[in-house]
Amino acid sequence: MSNIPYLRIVIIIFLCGWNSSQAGLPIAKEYQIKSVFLYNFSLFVKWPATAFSSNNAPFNFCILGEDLFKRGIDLAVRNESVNGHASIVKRLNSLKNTKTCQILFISKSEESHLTTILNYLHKHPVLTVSDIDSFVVEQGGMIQFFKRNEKVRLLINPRRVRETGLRISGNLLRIAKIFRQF
Amino acid sequence: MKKQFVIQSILFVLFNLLAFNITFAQETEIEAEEILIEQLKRLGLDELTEVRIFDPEAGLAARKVQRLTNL
Repeated sequence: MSNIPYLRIVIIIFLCGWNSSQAGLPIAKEYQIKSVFLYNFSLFVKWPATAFSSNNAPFNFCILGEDLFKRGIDLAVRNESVNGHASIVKRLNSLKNTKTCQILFISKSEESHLTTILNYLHKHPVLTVSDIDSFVVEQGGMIQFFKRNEKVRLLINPRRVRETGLRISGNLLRIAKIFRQF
Repeated sequence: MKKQFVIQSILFVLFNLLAFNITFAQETEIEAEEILIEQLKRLGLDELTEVRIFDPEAGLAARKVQRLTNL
């Protein structure tokens, strides 16, 4: 019986700790979070040397179609480099130049052209990312953003990533939902 | 004549104040986004998946629904 006040204190401390750890995380707009995920992909995926035209070639973060990232992606990759390749952001409106991208985000505005885009990039070391529903499961894309409980989550098809010569870190796979293709 | 000069001066000051405030607000917004992005970049992957999405339009829509139900 005398333990009950102590138990209360322990519960209060636990709850305070839990709350503060939740409160420690910032709240951000959807595409700000996605911008930082794109930046993180450059750290947790390895590209073969053939993915770059030269040693001095930049690391291209490309957005195909409507740009909902706005300033977020520029801020996320600003002053960063990936294995000696300076990071730049390219906004594209056509398939031309998509093969020079290391990471290609395909906007929802391009949904009707998705099959053409993915066929065009077939076996090329370009990490394809999108938030189009069915991007991974039905269309054969590599990484898909989806929302769950007001948070951004990832769906990855590791086989599709490896097929193109890219190597994906186990740390990235660990936090994602994996789509296994048989 | 004097009255007109005073009005013109007040309008001039007000206009400059407004222009200054707009520029200041824009700069503050950019700085805030820079800080937020840096904060997000410092998070681990598992923490990034726990960041809540801020959706101002969702709040607005919810308030509208509430107002309609109050009628």
